[in-house]
Amino acid sequence: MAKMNDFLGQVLATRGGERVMDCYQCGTCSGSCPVFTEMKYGPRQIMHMIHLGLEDKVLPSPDIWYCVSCYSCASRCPRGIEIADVMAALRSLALQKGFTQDKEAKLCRAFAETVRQHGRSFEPELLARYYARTLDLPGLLRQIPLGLKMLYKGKLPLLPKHVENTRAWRKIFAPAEGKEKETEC
Amino acid sequence: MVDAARHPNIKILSYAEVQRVDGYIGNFKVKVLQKPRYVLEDRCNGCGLCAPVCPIEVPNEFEEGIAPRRAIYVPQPQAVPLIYTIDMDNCIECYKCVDACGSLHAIDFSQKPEEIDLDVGTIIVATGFDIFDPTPIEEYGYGQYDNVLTAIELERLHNSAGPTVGRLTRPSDGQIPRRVAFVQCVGSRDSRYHEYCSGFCCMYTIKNALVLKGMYPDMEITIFYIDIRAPAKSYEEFYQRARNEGIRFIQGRPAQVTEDPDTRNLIIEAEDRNLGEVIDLEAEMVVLSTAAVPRQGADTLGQVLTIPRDPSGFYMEYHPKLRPIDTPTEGVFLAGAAQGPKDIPASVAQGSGAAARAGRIMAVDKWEIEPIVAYVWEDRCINATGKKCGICTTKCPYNAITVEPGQAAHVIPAICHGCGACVAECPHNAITQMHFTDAQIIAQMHALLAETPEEKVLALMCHWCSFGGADTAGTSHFEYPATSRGIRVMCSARMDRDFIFEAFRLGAGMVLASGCHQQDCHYITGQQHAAKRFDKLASALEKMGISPERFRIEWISAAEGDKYARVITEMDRTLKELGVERIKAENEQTREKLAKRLRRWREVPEVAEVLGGGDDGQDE
Amino acid sequence: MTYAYYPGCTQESGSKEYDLSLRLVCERLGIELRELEDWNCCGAVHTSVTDPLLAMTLPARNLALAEEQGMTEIVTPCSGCYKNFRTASKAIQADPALRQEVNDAIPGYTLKGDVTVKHPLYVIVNDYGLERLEVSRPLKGLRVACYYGCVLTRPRDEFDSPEKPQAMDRLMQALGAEPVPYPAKTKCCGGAVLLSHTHIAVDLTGKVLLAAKEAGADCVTLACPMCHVALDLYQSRVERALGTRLDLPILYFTQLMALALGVERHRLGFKRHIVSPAPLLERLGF
Repeated sequence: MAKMNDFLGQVLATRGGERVMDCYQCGTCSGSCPVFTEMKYGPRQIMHMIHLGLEDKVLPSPDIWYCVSCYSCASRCPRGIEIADVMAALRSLALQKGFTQDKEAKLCRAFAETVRQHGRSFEPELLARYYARTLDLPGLLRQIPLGLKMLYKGKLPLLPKHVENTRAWRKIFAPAEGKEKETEC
Repeated sequence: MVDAARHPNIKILSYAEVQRVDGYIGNFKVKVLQKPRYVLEDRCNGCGLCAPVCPIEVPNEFEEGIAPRRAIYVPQPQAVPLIYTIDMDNCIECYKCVDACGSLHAIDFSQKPEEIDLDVGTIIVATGFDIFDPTPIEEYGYGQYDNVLTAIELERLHNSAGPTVGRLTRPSDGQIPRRVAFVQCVGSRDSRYHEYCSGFCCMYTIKNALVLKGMYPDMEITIFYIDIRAPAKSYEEFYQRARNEGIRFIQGRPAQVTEDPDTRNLIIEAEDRNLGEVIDLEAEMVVLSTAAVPRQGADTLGQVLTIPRDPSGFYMEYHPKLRPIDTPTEGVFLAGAAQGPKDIPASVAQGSGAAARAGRIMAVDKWEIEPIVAYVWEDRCINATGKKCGICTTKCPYNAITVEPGQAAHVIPAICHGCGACVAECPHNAITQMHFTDAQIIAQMHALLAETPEEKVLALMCHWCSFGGADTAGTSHFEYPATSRGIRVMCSARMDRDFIFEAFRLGAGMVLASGCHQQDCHYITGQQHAAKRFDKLASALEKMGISPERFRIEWISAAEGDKYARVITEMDRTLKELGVERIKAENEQTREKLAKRLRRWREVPEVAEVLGGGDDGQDE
Repeated sequence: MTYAYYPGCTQESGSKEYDLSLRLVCERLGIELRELEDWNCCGAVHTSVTDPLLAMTLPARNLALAEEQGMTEIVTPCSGCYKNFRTASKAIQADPALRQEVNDAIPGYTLKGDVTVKHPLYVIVNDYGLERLEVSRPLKGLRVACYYGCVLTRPRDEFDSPEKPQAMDRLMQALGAEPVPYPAKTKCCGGAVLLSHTHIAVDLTGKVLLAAKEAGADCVTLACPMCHVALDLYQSRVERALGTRLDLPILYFTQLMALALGVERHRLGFKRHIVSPAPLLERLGF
């Protein structure tokens, strides 16, 4: 198995990244990606940069956080590469290495913390954690009308639901704690 | 083709199928089923008056379903022989064709299938290829959108002898498209369908593009590709010519093709890699350059001829570089795309080659084969006593052994390649291999291990690879300790467990069992049998009390002289680390157990002679 | 027909109408849904970013619960949960080492890996069978755009095509409605980045809604609460971004099924929708 640089080696070791070397740069993934125009590189170039070990370009890129995990790329890839899973793995690597500025990265942290806390998602807490991290006051204000609508329609829960044994539950998250890099996020 | 039909030495059996092949090189017996055409070959003159009166129309296979044919038909106007055939699946037996045929009386509905027996010396397989059906690639819309075609359908449309007399009319409205887009690598270079590159699609697309440009100079033609493959003589210049004539090449495999429901035009979305942008291209027609795939029925025919196919499904050649026309079955040859996608010049060249390979066999009265073939001792074969065995025939990569109930197994010498797998696998020691008998091999072993066996590495090597590797080590002057003693057999498959048991019984310090890497085995599957056997043997030896380091299994190619040297060096070191005392102790402990294992071997008269008298097998 | 029922985090709040209508439909069809006890969040897309193993362990705990509670088939109405469950289930079934790793990480539970994961759409279309449906109030005159979204049919499985899926369309036809063809059936709504990159979600959702509108749909039907939030709650944002009114009610396929099977309109949570389905339902005579 080719392992010409550390970054490539790390990606090859992830679930979904095993076949990253098979990529022959056909461009089907970028052509299928609904958010390609938002991205800096697009999935095809990301694959190429992984081959070249350009960790410093890939992990800070906005691309991995714009990915909507729609799996259009993976479903059409003629080399059978699970590109959406590679993107997910890159998100994890980015978090590990402290590339956490993107709002989606902060949302992932907020979501994980909320789920760790209760075993189930709980929108009010999720939003609180998210906006505390992003300090995005305009964004929060823009959400209020929607939030009120949801509240009025009974779509916003007021109290969290739990799994029975939250102590035992949090043990499942234990390995994650070791990996988190303490940054401004 | 017409010349072939007229040649006095060539007989064409058309509308016929090979059902069974027996025999061997120079002596094949072939059973052919001549299917009934319901038209008498010696009376039909191909005048074609029958077809127009036939009331039945079905899709025409040659025209890719674009045009119809009748139930009485010729496959295409230049068919050889130009004899009509009645498709009985669709014929309603109205007999209008009989009337039209008139005084020629060429139609005979009472025809029955006929079995023809042929004695032939050689067989050439030139069964060609089929075209990939792109329907499963739903994102390209074939079968859903009228104006998405395959390349072969396009060929029929622009062919002046085709159903539209060469006018490129598009299916939805008969209009001539202003813009045509080609999509390459459809069904090929795709791990979901076929991994291989189909080889000729780039060139046929460039040809199609140039033909269209010639017919319609204002047509906008775009080719979406991943890579352009134009390797052979003047192919690159052809590609340049296409660019020069204004055909547009976009590097980027299309993500999807969608249809505008009003105009029935197609919109192709693809990342133009060189622009770095995702583009939308609208075209009135899209052509999918579909891959060549193995011919339907190739698997059945392969079994009839006893020729293997490789993972792509095309017939396997004897050796991809050194014998690309031969099959592993002597006397059967391959020509053309049946062996793998290839274009016309390559097919013609291979056809000439196949003719030559066959010709040299038929030019002589006697054919020499290697004498190192397997031979069954009929009085030892248990199948002859009525007990069902047949293990030998399951191991033979060439189907050279026949086993009839109640009879001893029989090796057909002309098909046997001499790997020795059957010899090693026969649980009753009923098969031997000429010039590589058990007795001969043990005799070598006894000689090599006569003195201080505990200090020696006995290396069992296969002729084609590891022995070649050892040879390479020698000629390259790679140094390694002089502790090894080598025995050569043709294939690792020949290395009987008993050899290794005997080697340890004689007190060998270390034993190396070596052969080809799996994909290189000269006898296709020989190495696989050996590998399985050696793994089981390793556990058995360890259980008996032989240190596992003393038995090593290595796969060494003929080029890996350095590897051979390194392996022997390592084994010598291990031998010294274990120490003669420990080895001697293990040998003492295991000698009887090993002798017990070899009891059955002693029943073979030749072997008993070499092993000498006495149950403990002590040599004189 | 009995299935373990995994509601998912939104079925009790944000997508209650999906939960209500699904339960009513199953009641009518004689399908028993046994809610999984003590279930946990599947992790969505976000949780596993902090630890890739969570993508396996979070669904696995639920599958282990189902096994423990004696169930072999589990129904997950949210497409996102469905994708997480079936991906984890397949990976664990294929790799004994992974199963060991997962079991070690979820103390107190042991997953054998025998539970089959199903989405209610395919339970109804495949397991139950459209021919068996007794439609007492056919949805005549309803032109509906069937929206599958992304992970309902991707990664590819044996139930439907990822490019041109048909299950929901066939269901709508069986209910007497007219499914309209349109090019955005399987295009992502962008729900995963709804909070963090709202403009992307608005753009992608806009493309879906516009395509449905232009194809002449009266409404959109779907099978995922996340998509529902994007298409319904954010529809006004989309209208602002596109500069045009859409007025497309977004209905769960189970709500339409329930109506067609004769369930009373007031029981199906239509008042909870942001884009009111009331005018449409009245026009159709419900």
